[in-house]
Amino acid sequence: MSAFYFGPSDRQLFGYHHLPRPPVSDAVLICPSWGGEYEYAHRALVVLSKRLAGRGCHVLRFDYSGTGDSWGDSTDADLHRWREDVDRAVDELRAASGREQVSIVGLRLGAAVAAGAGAVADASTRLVLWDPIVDGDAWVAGLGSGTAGDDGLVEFGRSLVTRTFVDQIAGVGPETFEGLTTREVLLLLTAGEESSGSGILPEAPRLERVTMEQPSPWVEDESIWTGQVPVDAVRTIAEWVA
Amino acid sequence: MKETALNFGQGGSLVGILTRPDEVQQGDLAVIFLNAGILHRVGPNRIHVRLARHLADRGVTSLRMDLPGVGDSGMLGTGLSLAEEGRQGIHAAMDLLQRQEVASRFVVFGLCSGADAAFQIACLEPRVVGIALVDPTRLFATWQSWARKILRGALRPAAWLRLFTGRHHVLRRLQRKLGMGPEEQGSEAGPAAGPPAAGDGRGATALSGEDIQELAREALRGLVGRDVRILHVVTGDQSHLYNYRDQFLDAFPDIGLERVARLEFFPRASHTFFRESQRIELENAMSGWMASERFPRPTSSSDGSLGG
Repeated sequence: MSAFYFGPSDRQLFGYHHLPRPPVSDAVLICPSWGGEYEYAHRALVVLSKRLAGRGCHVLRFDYSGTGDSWGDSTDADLHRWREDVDRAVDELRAASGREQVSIVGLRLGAAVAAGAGAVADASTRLVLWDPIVDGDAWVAGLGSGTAGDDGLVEFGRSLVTRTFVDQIAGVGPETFEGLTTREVLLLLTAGEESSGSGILPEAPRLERVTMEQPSPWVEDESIWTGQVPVDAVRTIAEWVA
Repeated sequence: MKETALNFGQGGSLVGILTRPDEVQQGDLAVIFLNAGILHRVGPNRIHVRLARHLADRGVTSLRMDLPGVGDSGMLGTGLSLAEEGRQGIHAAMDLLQRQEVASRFVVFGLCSGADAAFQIACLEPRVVGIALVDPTRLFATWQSWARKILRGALRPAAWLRLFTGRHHVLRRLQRKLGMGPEEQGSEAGPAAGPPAAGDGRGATALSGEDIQELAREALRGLVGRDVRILHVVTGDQSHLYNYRDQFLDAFPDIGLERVARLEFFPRASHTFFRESQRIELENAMSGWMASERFPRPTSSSDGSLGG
């Protein structure tokens, strides 16, 4: 297992490669959420990655531009750029694993980012949409954003971001996921999120929908100051992917 | 500025990000950021990343690391307690940076439980020449802080209502002192965690508030003796425990703390600095302190350990 940077030298992305326990089965990219959800769910995504690696998967976790340990400030956050980051990470994962077929696990906003990435054009790409953000407007309203100043920046989700970024998120809707209609997809919904995924991919023949009474890892549990690890959800994803 | 991912420690199980400035202003000195609770090394609201880059722009090298068992770091496999593995992890980080001739003196930054860990490692490790403690979990009351708290409470109608209906916490405490009420559950001395330098609490007997303050006093006396520089930052989220800037100095008089400590009190800031203006305030406090301090050069005879 190792932490590393990849991408252009002036726009490096942070990645963490979990090496598989042989025999090697798959290659999996993890797309996190953003803001507080990114922080709180980090632990659960580490556990998921270890579980997948234990089942023979090369796993790459990474941070989008302007988030985590990757280059850039919060004001560099941009959904279009993040989709390019996903594609770059897929290339990196393919090179590191030697496997062409890649599965992508997208949590919350990460699911919407992954659904629009170029890598999804590959018919062999499989996706896990974990509590996806389907109503961007509602999510933006829930986080609350102030009025942008003259510089076009606004405090949103405890970060300073561009108004453009907020608008991009607000624009996320069921249609964001339409490119996945013919893909093999696991839609996993935890407690309280059962309704959020109801509007997406209504006629997708290869969609498997699973609802679980599990804590949402991207919600802060105030007793531990971070998110819980929903072990049953993690096991379900690992079994579906590998 | 150049950032490098490091895998180090036993079997490469520890992870950190080394941030090196284009032009080093403080040769042989590096800041090490410790985890806040079990949040990974990025820090709440990315403050460790921002601080590291802010400091790099001012010529300061830093490492933000995950302690063993936190974030991306695995355990070291020593079989020792989590707290002891944490200390070994910090030693490993310092050894690595020293071996690579990046730094031989260290300033350790911590928020919340990270501040406790920073304090503890400073007491044990002579290469630590400075600590930046943000909202440590143990804050010590003074007469002035009690007076301010009471005064503030007196201005609230709800407090008077509780007083007249016998539900005020001061009345309940008085009743307990007089043996007229139930035993006290917990303590108001701090929001969580154990005393500084009291280990991880496994098998430890409970210490009184006075015992803890005395332990802290002795530890601080050791740091003052080594000329270790201290930045002590408290946010408004702790105002029920800490309510004026110099409270830390007043809680530990007569040990020369004022010679080494700089105090900051940010009454409008939250514990995790969730507003941009709060993060900028912290960044400026940290870089201003780093630029103005003359961090000591440890001698081989420096020890400063707490013992016991």
